Amino acid sequence: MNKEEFRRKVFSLSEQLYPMVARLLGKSVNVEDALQEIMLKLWVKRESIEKHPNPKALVFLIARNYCFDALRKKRPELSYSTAHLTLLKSENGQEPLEWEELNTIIRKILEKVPEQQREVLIMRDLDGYEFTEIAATTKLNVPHVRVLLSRARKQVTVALEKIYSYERK
Amino acid sequence: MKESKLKKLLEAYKAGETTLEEEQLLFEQAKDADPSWEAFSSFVKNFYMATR
Repeated sequence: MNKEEFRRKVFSLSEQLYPMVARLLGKSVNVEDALQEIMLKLWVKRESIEKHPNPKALVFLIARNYCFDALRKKRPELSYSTAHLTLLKSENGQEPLEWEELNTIIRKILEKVPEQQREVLIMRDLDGYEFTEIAATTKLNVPHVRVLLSRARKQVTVALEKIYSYERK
Repeated sequence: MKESKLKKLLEAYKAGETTLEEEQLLFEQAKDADPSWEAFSSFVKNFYMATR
């Protein structure tokens, strides 16, 4: 794979990788710097990427693994959890306390969702990935991803309905 | 959006059968749904804005 092919096939995916990298690494890390490092890693692995039956899947997987490695170096106990969700502030004008409460409620609900289901839910609803991209990243097939997502969404919905039904009473 | 359409779309969402466009529409129309969906949509929208 030459520079031009790399730019076209791999570097062009930067925009799609950005949300996942930003979410996984949080605001303590410069996302552009992380993406640059990921691109360097991908450049080194360009021959394997080219030979891979699904190059895009491999790019997503390498990027995700880079983020996990970076997080583990900083906090060895951290897995694909909800810990990073608390780092964010409200971006749409919600009062800090209101946002903090909502953030805490949803984080607690998500913590109770089985890890694989939670991972799929976060990738779909927060990162906005297509089913094929999630399947590629998680090494699952699309129907399995849909099942996991459905279970996660139902669990989250039921939990939220329990909490918010009190508001209506 | 009509309440019946919103309800139908929400059911499809829970079953994992909606497209990203439909999901975006659902999050945007959250105020027409119940408070629990509005809360989740608010969380998702905040997250979207924070990471883009």
